[in-house]
Amino acid sequence: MPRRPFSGLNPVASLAVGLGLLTLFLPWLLLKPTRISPGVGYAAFGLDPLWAGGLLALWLILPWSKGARRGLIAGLGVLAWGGLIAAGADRLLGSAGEFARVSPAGGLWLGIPAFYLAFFAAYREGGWRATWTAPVAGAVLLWVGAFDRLGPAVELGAWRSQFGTELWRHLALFGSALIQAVLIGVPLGILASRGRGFNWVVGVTGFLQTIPSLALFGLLLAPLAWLSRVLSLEAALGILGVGALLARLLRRVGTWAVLVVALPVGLLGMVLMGALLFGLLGPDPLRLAWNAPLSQAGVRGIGAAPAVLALTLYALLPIVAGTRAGLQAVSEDLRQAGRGMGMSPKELLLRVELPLALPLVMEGVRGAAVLTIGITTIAALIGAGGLGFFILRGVEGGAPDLVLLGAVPVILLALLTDLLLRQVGRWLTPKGVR
Amino acid sequence: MNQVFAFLVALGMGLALAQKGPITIGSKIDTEGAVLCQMTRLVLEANGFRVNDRCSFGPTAVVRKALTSGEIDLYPEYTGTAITQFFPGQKIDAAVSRNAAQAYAKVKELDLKNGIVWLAAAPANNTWAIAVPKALADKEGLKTMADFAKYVNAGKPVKLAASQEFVDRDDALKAFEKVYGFKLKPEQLLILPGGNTTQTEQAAAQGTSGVNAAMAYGTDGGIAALGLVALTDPKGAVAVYQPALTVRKAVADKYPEIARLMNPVFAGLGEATLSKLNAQVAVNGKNPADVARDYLKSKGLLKP
Repeated sequence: MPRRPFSGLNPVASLAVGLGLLTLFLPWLLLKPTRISPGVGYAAFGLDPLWAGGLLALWLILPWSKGARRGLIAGLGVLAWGGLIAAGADRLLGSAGEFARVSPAGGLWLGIPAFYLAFFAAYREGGWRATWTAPVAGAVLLWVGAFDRLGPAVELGAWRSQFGTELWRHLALFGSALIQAVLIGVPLGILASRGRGFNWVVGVTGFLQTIPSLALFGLLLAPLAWLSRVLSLEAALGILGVGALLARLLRRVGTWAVLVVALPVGLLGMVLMGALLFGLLGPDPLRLAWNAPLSQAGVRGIGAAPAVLALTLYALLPIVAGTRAGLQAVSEDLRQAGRGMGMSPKELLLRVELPLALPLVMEGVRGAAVLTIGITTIAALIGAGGLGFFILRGVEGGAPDLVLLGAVPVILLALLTDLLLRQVGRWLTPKGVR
Repeated sequence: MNQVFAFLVALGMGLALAQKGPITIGSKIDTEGAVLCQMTRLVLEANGFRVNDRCSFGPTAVVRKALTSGEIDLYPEYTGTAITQFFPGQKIDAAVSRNAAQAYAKVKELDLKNGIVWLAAAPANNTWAIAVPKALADKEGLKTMADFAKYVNAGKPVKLAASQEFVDRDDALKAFEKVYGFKLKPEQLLILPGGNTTQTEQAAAQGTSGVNAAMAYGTDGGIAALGLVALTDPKGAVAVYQPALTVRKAVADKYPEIARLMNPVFAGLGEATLSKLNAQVAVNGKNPADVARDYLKSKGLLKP
């Protein structure tokens, strides 16, 4: 029986090729007279027939290879993709005015999922040995500056000094909020897993997520500004100490009495901790003075303090929910076994329940982290900076390239964080559960 | 050795005396706000102030609240915005809001009660306007709002892109319609909720959904770059929006030199100058700080 020519095709690779061929008919680059003007689209063959032809040939031979060969062809394809972008941008800008811009368009973007699929197919066949070409090709393109003449890179040139600071601020805001959310969310999750009486914890953290960020900032501005003026660092620490003591004493009276004290004092603690964390992590120098107003320590109505507080509140839900789910999933038999060995409730929690719950807790932290990286962009609304600054300025100014300068790093950071925390989660999972 | 020591002490004292402030300055997230804010920063820093740069940090409501609550010390604001938004209890005559000098005097007087001092305003009017594509303006002879009214009343095709605010407020589109005697039907409006002028101007430039007129501001940098022209308002239908620095009274009293330093800077900022500076940021994509520095140096307001 004659072999049919398409019988051995990998479906994932076929999808990649379909997408890749489609990109050649879509506009790749938009040429605009200025950064805010409407653009004219140029498709692959209109930009540079040579690179486009090479790319077409590579897409056409991709289905008839396998494993490492497929990875190599896809890597060459990425190089051709970048070469086409660089050559096309050069050609378009060569005959255009001083302020003309070249922006990425649909065909260029769609190339990314197409190559992702191609590498995925190669990975399934040949593992990591088949896909080393992906990072190498990407690094080569960055090294030769294939994207240097695209709009977002030009925007980066104009904002270079701010970009580093805003990126640092973004990471510091994210880091402060996540650390704080873990420190608060995990105990809250443990509390929430202790029977039906504490179901309200998840309800409250869920409710917090529904408050629009701009409204939250508006609500926080006046009270935070007031706090920053009337309290000094020593007074704030004093209030925290007295509050903790009072909450402990009121435990006899009932949960609600504790909450009445713990909520405002806890919020003050969060504000203070958030501002100090950001001061430690962020680019703005931290000045601590015991008896100066809190504004000296970074607690202010605008800036990092309200931003970190809001981001922390938003990040609580996934962590609380993950912790609770993890603890509730621990089987009663294991608890019984622990108790049978004579463990106290505290030992049971630390040595049996939490280690077993850890994978789900980490899932919650990962969810919170990816979410927070994205929504940290709202910090720019309250003067805390971060990559949202460029997004906001870009939207306001009608300059899509500036929006991309803020948005693309956020996406990359989110992917990177996801990858990193997945790995951490794997390390932290006890061997017996793996 | 003693001489070195004495020199160091003198240097330290000199630096301590020379460093005034810190002054926290802010602005709204828009092009003109960023340029004015950077000018203020550069001039104050050049004259020995320590400046906290919080330029471009929020929308009007947030920035104003930050000023009144003492989070920032000064920011550029518009007389027209103050008249329409900051004094809800006051009944201000529409004629006052349309006269630059009277509007400024009124705002200055009223805001002093809130503890806010208005420095001298720039002789520019960044007010509402309607912009149309240049090709249409040339073909139909559109120069003023009166021409536009005639064009609309003749039943020729028109579609205006605007924000909800521009359509709803009594002192924007409705004021134009009343003074010049025309009325746009709902189907002649394309409302971009929360829309800003760059978006409406882009819609008019691209002819999105048949749009051929756009809400604009007088000193927008993008109007010319997008091939539009702003129609003039000879009868003064809408409020005057002059930019000026608003300063907390405590700070203005402590450092009277802020007014002395900044008033000459603002005095030089006419409409043409401002829209040229705005265009360098909005259209050419330059950094507001660079644009402000180049301008100040070219005018001798900052030592090169």
